[in-house]
Amino acid sequence: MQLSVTVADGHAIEEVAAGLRARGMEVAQVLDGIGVITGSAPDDVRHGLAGVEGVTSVDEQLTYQLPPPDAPVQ
Amino acid sequence: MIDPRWAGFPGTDATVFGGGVRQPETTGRQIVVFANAGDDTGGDTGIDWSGAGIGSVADSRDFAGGEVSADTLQEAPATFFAELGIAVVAADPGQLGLLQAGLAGSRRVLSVSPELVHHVLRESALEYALAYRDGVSDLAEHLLHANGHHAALAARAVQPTFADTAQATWGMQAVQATSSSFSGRGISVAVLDTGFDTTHPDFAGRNVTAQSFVAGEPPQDGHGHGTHCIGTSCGPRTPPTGPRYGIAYEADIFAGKVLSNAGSGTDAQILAGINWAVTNQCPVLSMSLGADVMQAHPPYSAAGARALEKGSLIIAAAGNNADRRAGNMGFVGAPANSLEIMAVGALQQELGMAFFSARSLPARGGQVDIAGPGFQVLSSWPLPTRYRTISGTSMATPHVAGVAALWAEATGRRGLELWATLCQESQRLLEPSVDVGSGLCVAPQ
Repeated sequence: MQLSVTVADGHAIEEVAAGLRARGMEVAQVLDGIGVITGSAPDDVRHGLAGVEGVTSVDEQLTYQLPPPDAPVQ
Repeated sequence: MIDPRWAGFPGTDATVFGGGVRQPETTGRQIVVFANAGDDTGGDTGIDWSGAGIGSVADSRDFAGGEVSADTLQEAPATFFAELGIAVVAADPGQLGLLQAGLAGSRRVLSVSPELVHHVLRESALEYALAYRDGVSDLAEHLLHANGHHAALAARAVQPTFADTAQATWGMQAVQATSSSFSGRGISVAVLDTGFDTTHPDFAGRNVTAQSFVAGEPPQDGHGHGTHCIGTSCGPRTPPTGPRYGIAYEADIFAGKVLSNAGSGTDAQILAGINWAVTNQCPVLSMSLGADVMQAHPPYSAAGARALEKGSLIIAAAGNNADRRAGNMGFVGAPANSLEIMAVGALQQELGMAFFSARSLPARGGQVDIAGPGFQVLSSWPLPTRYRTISGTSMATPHVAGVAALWAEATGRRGLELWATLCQESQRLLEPSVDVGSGLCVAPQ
């Protein structure tokens, strides 16, 4: 499942990313400008990720869908 | 003589505000507002009191903690509040004239106005009941005569219905972009959407940075939505054909493609786009996208908060999940329902709600913060179509973003200060605050 991991202020984001990898998350992006890490992990791994130091939240990614280009309301 | 009740409001009179507004009481003294002291005045106030024949001036800096005593306030011919640059002065018109003329190098007088007597706003229970009764019967009268139409009809009489003209779209007129002296020059506006048609002739010569966060797709807009939103926020002042449809016509454009040509995207793409815009120090981020979920999404709260700290304001569409024609008011979706992200509702030409525009959620952060034109909005579209007219909170959002760029340029404010300025300066509307927040965004003049 695709995940977004929110990192607390005052933590080195690369260290948090390393902690997430060690617990089985496949890290795709380390967004140091906003303190968020994205990636994927199997269901059974997900719950362990919240225990990594510096993690405030682990959320399944939302998806977005615009209406088709010819729709009157977008 | 100018009636101070309506001064500065051309065309207004008692019929607009209701009959029972009394003339204000004045004290006979004047409130004088001075320009900010220059650096060269040192510890001096820089005001030529003696030249104006005003001898005894109480200066707030001579009082412990700046607390000027009540006796002094009453008795001193002049009291100067140094921290505010404001004085209360008992002086005749001749003396005030001398003060305003000033010595060369003395502090300029910005305004002189009569000191008003203020009262605690108080109504007796009986007065309240009578006013309530009058209000209800007035409303009933309106509803009967207006054939069930909106109770705000009376005020609509003084509120124009906007329409596209040969010169400008209705939205440009409504947000007062057409009369603004600002252009967004020096301000980077990031539009995170389906990309941008970088070949569009209306943007020839513009400073555009385009980046795709969608795997396998270049930044070129294969949908149209992104090009439309960039047109509204940053389109040209005088397009080669048709009316003006863009606000910040000299802004630097950051086109982040976070939604695919099929119009779909994920958090990962959108967060990557936010990170890119924040890293590039864009003061304004426009996000005409959303998912219909009520729960605020933690990554967007974090991203919004950190963006604000770094001087970037994220402005997002409230959502189109309402159908007000059927009584369904909808709700603000993610990411706009994060407290740290500004949510935008959509208005029609008469400044009423567009039928699809989502209403505030009761949860913290779930409110609509501001509104913009979002109905039948003409803007740019990828070639060969070139222009299209569509509706949505997606179209209202770049109106607010463009106006935000003008305020960022005009005031130098960023982040939360810019957010506050947008709300402070917005035009209040008769629609409920749960739908329009602080009202219609308007440009600095």
